[in-house]
Amino acid sequence: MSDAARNGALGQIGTLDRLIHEPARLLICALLYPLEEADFLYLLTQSELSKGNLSSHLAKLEESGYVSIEKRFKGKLPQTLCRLTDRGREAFESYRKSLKALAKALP
Amino acid sequence: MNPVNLNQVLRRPGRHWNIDGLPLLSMGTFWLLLGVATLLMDSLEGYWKVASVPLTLFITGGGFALNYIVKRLKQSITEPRAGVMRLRQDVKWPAALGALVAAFAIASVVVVVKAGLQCEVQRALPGGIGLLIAAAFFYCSRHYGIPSYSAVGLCAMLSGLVLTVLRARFPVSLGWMFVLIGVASILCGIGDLTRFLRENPLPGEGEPAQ
Repeated sequence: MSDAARNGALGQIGTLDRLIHEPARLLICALLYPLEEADFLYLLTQSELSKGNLSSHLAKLEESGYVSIEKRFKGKLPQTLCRLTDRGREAFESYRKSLKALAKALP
Repeated sequence: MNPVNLNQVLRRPGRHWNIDGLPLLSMGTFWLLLGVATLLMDSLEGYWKVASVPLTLFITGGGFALNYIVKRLKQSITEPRAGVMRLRQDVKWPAALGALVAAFAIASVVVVVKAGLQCEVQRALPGGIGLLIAAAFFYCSRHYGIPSYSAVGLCAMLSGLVLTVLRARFPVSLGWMFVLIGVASILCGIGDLTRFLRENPLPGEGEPAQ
C-alpha cells in the first residue's frame, strides 16, 4: 500500500460513526444485522450486557434512527422486538468497511 | 464485556438455532425412520419399483413435517429461555447448501440404482455417501462452533467406511448407515438439549421465592 493510500485510510479514523463505535452498541448492531428482528431476551442472552445497560444503548440507537423498537404482548407476556432500520444497516455496513480499510492500513 | 470477534457475532443466529439440540434431535428421528423404512422395504419383492414412490413422498413430507415440528418445539422450549429471533431471507444459504448436499446424495443413489451399475459400485456407495454426509456435518460444526455435529459426522464417516469394508449388501448397507446416523444424531441432540436446559433456565426459575 502506498503512503498516500495509507494516509487516506488512516484519515478515516475521524469519520468513524461514533454511535456504532461504542463496543456495546457495535455488538447490538452486529447481532441485529443478520436478522429480520430479535426480542430483548435474545439480545440480553447473546450480548451478556445487563438489562439496564442494554436498555440504555437500545434507546440511544432508537433515538438516532438506527434501530426500531416495537413493544407488544405475546399471550400475557410483554415482548420487545428490535429491528435494525435501513439507516442502521447502511451505517453498520459503512462502519465495517471503514474499519477493514483502517485495519489494512495499519503497519 | 469480553472482546468479541465480529465475524463470529454475525454467525450467532445459526448457532442460536442449532445450540438447543432440537434440530439435531428431529434430524436424527428423520434419519432413523428413513433407515428403518429402507430396511423394511428391502424385505419386499421388487423393492425399488414398489418402494421408490412412497419413499420419495416420505422424504419430501418428512422434511416439511420436521421443519414444522422444530418451529413449534422452539416456540415452547427455546424462545422463553433464550429469546426470539427471525433470520433475514437472504442469509439462509447454509440451509440451501445442506439441501443441495442431501439432493446430491439422493441423486447419486438413484443414478447408481437406475443405471444398474456393477454390484461393486453399489457396495461402495455407503462409503461415498457417508463421507459426503460427514463433510456437511463437519462444515456445520466448524461454522456454528457446535462439537456434537462433528461427532455425528464422524459416525457417518465411520459407519459408511465400515459397511463398505464389510461388503454389506446394497441397499441394506445404506439402511443401516441411516439408522446409525439417526441414533448418533438423537443421542447428541439429547445431550445438547439437556445442556441447553441446564444453562438456560426459564426467567425466574432458580430464584429464591419472595
